[in-house]
Amino acid sequence: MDTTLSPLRILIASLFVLVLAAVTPLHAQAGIVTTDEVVTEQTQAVEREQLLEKLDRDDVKAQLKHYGVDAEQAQERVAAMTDAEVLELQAGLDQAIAGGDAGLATLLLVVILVLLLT
Amino acid sequence: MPASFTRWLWALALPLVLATGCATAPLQHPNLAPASDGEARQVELSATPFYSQTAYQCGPSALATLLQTSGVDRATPDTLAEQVYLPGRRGSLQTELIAATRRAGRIPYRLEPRFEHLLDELRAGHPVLVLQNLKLPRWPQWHYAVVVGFDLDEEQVILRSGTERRQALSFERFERTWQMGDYWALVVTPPGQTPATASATRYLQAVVPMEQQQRWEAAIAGYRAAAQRWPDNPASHMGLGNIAFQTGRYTEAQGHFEQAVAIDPELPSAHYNLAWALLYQGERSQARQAAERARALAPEHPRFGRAVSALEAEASERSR
Repeated sequence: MDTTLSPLRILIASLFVLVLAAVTPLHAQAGIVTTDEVVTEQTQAVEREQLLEKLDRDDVKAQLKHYGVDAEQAQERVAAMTDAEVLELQAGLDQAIAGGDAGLATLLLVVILVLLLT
Repeated sequence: MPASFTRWLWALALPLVLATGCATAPLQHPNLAPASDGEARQVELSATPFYSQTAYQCGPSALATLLQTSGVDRATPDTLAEQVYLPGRRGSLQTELIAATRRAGRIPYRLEPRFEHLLDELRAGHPVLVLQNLKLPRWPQWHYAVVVGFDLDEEQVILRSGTERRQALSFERFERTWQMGDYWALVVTPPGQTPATASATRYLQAVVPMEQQQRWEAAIAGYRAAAQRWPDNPASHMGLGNIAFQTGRYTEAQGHFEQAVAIDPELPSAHYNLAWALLYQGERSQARQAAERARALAPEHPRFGRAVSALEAEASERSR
């Protein structure tokens, strides 16, 4: 392949750079909001609205009660969560990670693995 | 011939690659930047309290350790169990550890998922609560523990974990378990301090819920700490101003909004809120000027664009 630049190419390239340089500041100076920004902002507003419509703190309260938390505590526990956190738990409290145990079970697993592998 | 041989190799290798995909996710600790001069190679926060966990109660125990270190004397595994433990799940959710931290009047800060940040927090004297999976990806055993130290030469971390007051794990073993927990890590600092590795936006995002839940004292301490650490960020002053406004201290609110304007004169929200703080003190013409600046800075914005008319409407409402 020809890697040297022909005079024509250099001309085209520098024209391109000139045009870019001329256009860019104009664009920035005008300070208009791009369509992309408008649409994105609209989408975000709609999404937020849809999410907040789904937001149901009572649902999470009920789930906590289902898992053995008393009513009064469930109320206070949910009150300390943000909207985003409530929405996350609403999606499935049964799926959320619950950290609980340590130690013994791991030891058992290791013993089983050792027995299996040897 | 060579082509079919390659295909054979792939047929053999692919299932292996897929099967071990999880186990071979790259670990961070082998690529830690060497400790720079004056940076500790070994840290152990020996004074960190320990609460031996009873059945499934690692969440309340680990959180009690963290909250006690941040100065919450009333935090014990028993009181926290009521706030975070889920009997039906035999464990505690991450969200609830965060929520309980707020209830204790402390700001829960989640670290970025980086091994070096863990070390930096320990260097700054902050124990780190982590989520580990002690078993396998498909057969998880989720566990909370508190990292209280490390040794770069021994390649070990020291934890308060389960029923072990001082558990030493190799970097390798620890990171594997922590990696399966998506490097989830929580730091809780005493009021007025910020985590060593905190970024302004991440920290402010952790303070905002404190304000929303009207935990004013903790929120004010958080915003003040942020203002001190990131003096160029106007958001901390917006936060302080908004709390003052919501609690009816309009003169103080005005002062904070003016500081936000001084930091960023082109921030429409600062002018907008300043307008309201002025209006509520009866400074109608000054308020109008501030609203006009907000409008001029963002004329197309659904809120700031209508700053002047909204302010005028409120003004006539109030003068009625």
